[in-house]
Amino acid sequence: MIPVFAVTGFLGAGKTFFLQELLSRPEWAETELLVLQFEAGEQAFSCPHERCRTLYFSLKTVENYPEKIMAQIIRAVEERTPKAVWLEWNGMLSFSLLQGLLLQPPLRNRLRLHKALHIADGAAIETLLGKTGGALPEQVAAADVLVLRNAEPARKRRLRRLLRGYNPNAPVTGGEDAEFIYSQILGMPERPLGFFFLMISLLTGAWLILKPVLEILGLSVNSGINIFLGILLQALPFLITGVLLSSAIQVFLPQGWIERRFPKSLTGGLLTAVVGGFFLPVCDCAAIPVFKSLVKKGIPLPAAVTFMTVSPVINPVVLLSTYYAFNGSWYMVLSRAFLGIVAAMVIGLTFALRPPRGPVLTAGAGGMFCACGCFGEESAPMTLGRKLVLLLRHAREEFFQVGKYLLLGALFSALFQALGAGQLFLDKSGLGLVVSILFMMAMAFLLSLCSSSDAVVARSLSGLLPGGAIMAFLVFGPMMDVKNLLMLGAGFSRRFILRLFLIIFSVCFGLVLLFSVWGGL
Amino acid sequence: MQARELNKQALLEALCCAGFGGVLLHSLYSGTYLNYVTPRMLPWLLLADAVLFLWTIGALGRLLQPQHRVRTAHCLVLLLPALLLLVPQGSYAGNQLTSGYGGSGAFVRNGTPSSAAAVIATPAITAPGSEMPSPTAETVFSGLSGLDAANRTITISDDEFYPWLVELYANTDRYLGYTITMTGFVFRDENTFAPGQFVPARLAMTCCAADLTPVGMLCKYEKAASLETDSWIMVEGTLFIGEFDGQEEPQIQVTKVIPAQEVPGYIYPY
Repeated sequence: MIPVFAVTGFLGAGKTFFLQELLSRPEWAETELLVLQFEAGEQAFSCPHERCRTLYFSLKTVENYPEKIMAQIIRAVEERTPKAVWLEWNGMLSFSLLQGLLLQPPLRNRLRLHKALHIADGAAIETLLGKTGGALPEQVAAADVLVLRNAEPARKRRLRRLLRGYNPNAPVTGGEDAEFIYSQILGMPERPLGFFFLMISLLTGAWLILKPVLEILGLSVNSGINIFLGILLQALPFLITGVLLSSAIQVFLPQGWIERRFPKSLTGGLLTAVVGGFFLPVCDCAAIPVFKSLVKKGIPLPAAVTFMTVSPVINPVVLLSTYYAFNGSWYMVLSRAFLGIVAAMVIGLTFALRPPRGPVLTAGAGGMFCACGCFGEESAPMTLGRKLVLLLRHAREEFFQVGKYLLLGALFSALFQALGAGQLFLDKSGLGLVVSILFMMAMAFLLSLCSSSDAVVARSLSGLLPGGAIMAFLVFGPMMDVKNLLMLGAGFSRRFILRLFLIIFSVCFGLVLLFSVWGGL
Repeated sequence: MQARELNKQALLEALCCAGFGGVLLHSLYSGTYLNYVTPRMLPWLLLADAVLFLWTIGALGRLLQPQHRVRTAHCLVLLLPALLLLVPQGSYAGNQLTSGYGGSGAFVRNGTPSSAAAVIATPAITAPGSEMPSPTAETVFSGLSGLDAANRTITISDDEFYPWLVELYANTDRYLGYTITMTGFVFRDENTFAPGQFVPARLAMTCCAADLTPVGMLCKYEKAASLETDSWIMVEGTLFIGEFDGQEEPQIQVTKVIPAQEVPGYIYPY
């Protein structure tokens, strides 16, 4: 089987130039090559030596006479028996078209797509992506190596991040390092399924070996797994609900709808966010995908942040569970709600007073992009049926993206509890108010309890610690914990997440401290 | 003839969505999910199952769409929990809990003593195997068995552990001096219990396995130190009014302790 190397990229990105440079190198001098150009480019490829042949196909031929193309290719392959086939693929043609072509019967038996490289022009790629249809994003997503040419050093990082948004795993190179490119493309084809089964075997092996070892060490693996599964089974349905909601926002809300309807004033926006948060009766796991979606759809950042921080604290389920956990104490319920709302509004306010510099979302701007292969759909008429399919697909992608962080957070929390976190709570009555508050906030962060159940845990600790510390646990926990922090990583920049964490922490701490000193807890 | 290539990522996704969905459905059907979450989660988990089913179909639809870059690691998000759900779990170690004991009045919805409110009725939730009638101020729950008023004894069955707890808390005066029998595991809180005190407890779950809390009545027993923590016992004793955490509550003066069989299943107060 002859390997096929595909070079994709938009017109003018420099595919022909790249190919010319690469194939003129001495390493290819002895290799019989076949070069196919599917591009109406400015430059025609010229063979660097005699053991090379070029075929050229216009766009029209590709679209209308694919059989002719295949016939010509197969003839050339049989005549010369090339060691490798390089092809240059037009930026307006979808990658799946190329794959489909190579999988047709005559070609399928002789050629196999080995690697794909995408050439992007740093000066133009930002404008091109998202404005030239679905083919370009698909090409970026399908590439094994991304070559970013002509990028100003100042914008390099941003451009890399943009490309990574479509293709998280492919290396991005400047293109000058031929050795690197060779190592990427001439290496063995990745075996993703093999990798997957290897992971499973490793996990099973780890389980069989580690479990008895850990038990001897005193770690109750059993409790750990019970807690882990408990957290997961509790959180997964809400995460699924969250991604469904978030995808619905993405698919069904027309761009600009929110911008038109949302209150323009800051206070109006924050208050709307608080009201909206009250009506989202789900775990904090659901709030994060919805938050991401709202930001993407144009809700002003301060209001979106307020929404995200307030909804896990004041939604009806949480308030109800607080009520029951504290033996019907309206005081606790109202204090929790009041502090939650004030904290959330202050947090949102800080983002209004000092807007974050630089992008908040990690991947490209606006529109229905995603790395899930659902491109090219925008051109087709959007019936309700199509929209629903798109919704499900988008939800699935987001679920897997955020889900892996949820798993990590649950694992951490379970480990923490299995190691006997309960022991940490004992005998803390000697600490002062400030230290207790900090301690409880740290525990809330590490335990990552669901906001509808932390009231019970807090209640059981209320004998041991001052009221202010308990309230801090109840207000900070839903807003920010290990699980949330990790989940935010799937879509927001590190700088933004860090800032968010610090602000939430300080505002909660300050407010609870003030409240307990003045008011009385 | 249209030649196609199998989309490995779609295949894996279909298998994992179907696999986890199937394992989850099985645990819902057989009730094992109750080891991890409360019965309240049932509709949500069914929703999750429905979505997983739809995703499986979507993945099957993509089975023949060629895909050059195949990602597989993300499927572990579903595979790992599925595998763990399949592995049989042992019982939860009672004293590894994060939550501590909250008195026999914990979970009972009362007004605080100062507000003097009547006991507030709550919606009854039926979990498989445990009836949870709502407490009212005066009535004995209809249907609570084990009460022998003539001999002044109450035999608390495992299924009615929690309702009896609620009833005894709400109407302590009526049952003062009665002989109570109940089964639980030995729970001790070294820091807040006096020597000679323990609780024959059951575990209550509010939201998920991470918040399991011991519930039961505080017992006074001279030979309490000889009881092995986490062991299951049947306790017989006399009801009296004692004090815990600054509040009055029903407690038991133990007269007899017999080893007992472990009682499976958690209590779901809500």
